[in-house]
Order: sequence, then C-alpha cells, then structure tokens
Amino acid sequence: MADAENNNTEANERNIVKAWRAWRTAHEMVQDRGYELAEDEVKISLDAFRTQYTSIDGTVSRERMKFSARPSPEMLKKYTPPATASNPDPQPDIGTIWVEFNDDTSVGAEAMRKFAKFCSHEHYRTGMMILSGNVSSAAKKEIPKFAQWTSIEWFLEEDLLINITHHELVPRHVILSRDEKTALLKRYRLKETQLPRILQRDPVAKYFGMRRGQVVKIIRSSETAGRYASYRLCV
Amino acid sequence: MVDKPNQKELNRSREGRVKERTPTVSRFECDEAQGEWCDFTLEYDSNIPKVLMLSIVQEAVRKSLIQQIPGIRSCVYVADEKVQDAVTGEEVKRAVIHTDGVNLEAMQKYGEFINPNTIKTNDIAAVLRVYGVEAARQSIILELGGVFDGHGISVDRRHLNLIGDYMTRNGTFTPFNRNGLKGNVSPFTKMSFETTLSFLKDALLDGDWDDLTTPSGRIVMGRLGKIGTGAFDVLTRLHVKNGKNQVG
Repeated sequence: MADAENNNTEANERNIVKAWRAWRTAHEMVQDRGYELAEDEVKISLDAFRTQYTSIDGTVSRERMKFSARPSPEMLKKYTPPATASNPDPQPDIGTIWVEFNDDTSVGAEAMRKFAKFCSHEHYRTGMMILSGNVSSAAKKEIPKFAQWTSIEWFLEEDLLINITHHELVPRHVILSRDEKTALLKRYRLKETQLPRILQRDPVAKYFGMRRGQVVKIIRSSETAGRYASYRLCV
Repeated sequence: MVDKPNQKELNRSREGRVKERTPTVSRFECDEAQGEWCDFTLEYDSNIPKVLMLSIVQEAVRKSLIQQIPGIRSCVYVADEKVQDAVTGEEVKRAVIHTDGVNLEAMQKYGEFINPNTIKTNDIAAVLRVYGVEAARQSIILELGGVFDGHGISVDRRHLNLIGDYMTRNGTFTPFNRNGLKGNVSPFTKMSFETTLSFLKDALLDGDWDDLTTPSGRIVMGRLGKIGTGAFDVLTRLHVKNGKNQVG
C-alpha cells in the first residue's frame, strides 16, 4: 500500500518536473520571438512553479497553466509591412499571443475549434496550444479555417522538455523584417528562390513561428572567418 | 549494522521459498540491501543432459525487463574523453557516453544525467527532425571531418562547409551522390560526376539540353567556367593601321 503511494508521488513528481520544463521552454520561446515577458516569469524556479500550478493533491493542474504576452515595440516594427501609397499607415501583422497547456490524451476537432474560437474572440493574433497528448487530423484541419483571425500553433509537451535552440549545434537564428529582406536581396542581387531554404515544419522555424516568405539570418561561428552570416528563406 | 541479522533472516526465508518452488536449487544467496547480485547453486542428477546456462539466462533477462530506451542498444561510459568544444573549438576532456543506436527524444528526458545540449550523432535525419536543418548541416560537416581525420587526410573545413551548404540547401538534406544530383538541371554536370552513360542516355531520351552555365558543364565542353577570372573578358584597343610590329 505504502509502496503504491510512493510510486504515485514519484510519478507525480516526474510529471511536475516535465510540466515545469515545458513551461519554461514555452516562455523562452515566446520571449525569443520578441514578446514582452518579465525575466522572473521566464526563469521560474521549480518550487515557485510547484506552489503556483499544482493542486492540493500534488498533481499538476494544466488548465491553470496559461499566459498571454504582448509584442515588444521592436517586434511590432519588424512585423509592420512597409508603407505604400495606397496604405500609408500599415498595421503590424502580429499581436498578443495566448499560450495554453492541455492535458487531454487526444485533442479532437471540437476542442481545437473551441480554442481557436476563444483566441479569435479575445483578439489574440496567435494562439499556442501545448499538448501532452496527440492532435487528431480533423483537429489539424480546423486550424486554417481560423487563419484570417488568429494563427493557431501547437506543440507537444515532450518536444519542449528542452530548448532546442540551446543545443551547441544550433546557431543563432534572427528573423529579418521585410525591409531587411529586400535590402539583402538587393545587395546580393538575388532572387528569392536563389536563397537556401528552411522548411516551415523545421523545428527551429516552428520555434520562432516563422511564416512562409520570411528570411532568417543565421549567425554561425567559423574557424576561418570568426563569425559569418548565412540566410535561409522559409518555404 | 543493526539490520544485519535482520537481512540474514530475510535471506534465509527467501532461500527457503526459492528452494520450495524449485527443488533443484541447493543453495541461494542474494544481496538483500542493494539487490545487486544473486548467487545460487543448481543440483541435477548425473544422468541429466547438459544444461546450457547462457540461453536460459538470456531468456530470463528478456522476461524481466526493468527499463529500456527504444533504439538504444548498448552504452559505454568514458570518464575523460577528448572532445572538441563546439563553441570555442578547443579540445577539452569530458565524461561522455557512447551509445549504439539513436533516440534523441528519449535522451532529452534524461536532462538530469546528461547534458542534452551537447548530444551529437551521425544520424543526420534524426538531427534534422529534432534540432532542425542548421544543426543537421553542422552534423554533416562534423561527421565528414571525422571520416577524413580518422584516415589522416587533412581537408580544409571550407570544402566541407560547402558540401554541408549544398546538401541542406533545400531545407532537408539531399544525398551528395548521383541520386541527389538527379535534380540538377545540367546533364553535363551529372555526367561528369558518375555513371556517365546512364545520365547521357536519360538526357537523350528526355531530349534534355545544357545551357553551359554550370562550371562542370563548361569544363566538359573545354570552356572556361563563368566564375572568378572566367567571369569576364578583357578587351583592348587594336592598332590595325600601324601594322603588327608597331606599338603605337
């Protein structure tokens, strides 16, 4: 009996650590994308996390794990299209992000629709769902239906246990604004298609929420040149 | 030391139970505190055929699975291996674990024991899936370098960088062989690489053509590549009127 209880608390503890890691990586991801988050929100300690997000019986309450973040001024600037004659005051195509954890074993179309409706209703431009279970293919089909109001992204909690961009083989990725992209293409006299590519489903591209047509600057360290930049177009 | 007699008693009662269940066991002893070892003697009639223990033990081990990581077969721990630091490029001594088989996702769950940010593997597809195309490119370069270094061949890193860039230019990785080259637009480039006749045959059957813009294609036709000093012509004014011996 005591053994079973012991096993239970051990499994619980593992679950809490898992949730805490995913929570931290999600915050780092949101911060790395350029949203405003306080440093102590990102670097939450395990104990602080435990007091805040576990219920009385010691289990993680994932329904309480949710947060929103506003884009920083630099990020707004980066995502604002250049002014044209017909559109002298362009609006940035980025807005507040909403992040939610979900502990259902499988997310169906209904749950996804509810989440997307909530995000578009509350005027969140990006909605991020972090799942412990899997997503049904019907649920995935719901995502493009809401594309004009909110862009829905989903991640598996398992994939967020560690921050992949901290790996020593992953160089620094910086997303370019539209102005920087045109300047780059002009400087090297390139067509868009002549750039090397990065897939939208690439883990790092997903991490930064890259959209089709964006260019990412990759800053690598090199033995011969110290540091040098390379560019990839998101397709 | 207090629980020592207690352990002995435990051991004896366990021995009794084991002997009761399997009469062939004549002596049984095991590590009650840690569970690290177990020592027993089996007694059989002298006329019984030979017992091969190895296959029996293998079967028993398979039945009593305690923990496994799918994809990982054997592990070797090396306390101080020389590894090159990816950031500074210096050789440092670190404790590493070598595994036979790859499971990057599972390794990330063991962050308390290993540093998940320094995992390396020669499974480029796994790296691409978990860490993205840039890490895959870096792995390709490291692995290629490892192959050459292992044979004592020094190859400039810039050649390997170029190969890495070429292989990952599509966002995934294309093999650097005649299969990967199939998508190339220049038949001469493909022919100059490998299996000349097969590529020539394909080009003929498809009515393919070469506009001689690729360096390899131009070399095949005995022309200068349109790169470097071949990228331009030098034109100078000729003094036709003065005759060929006069410098004007």
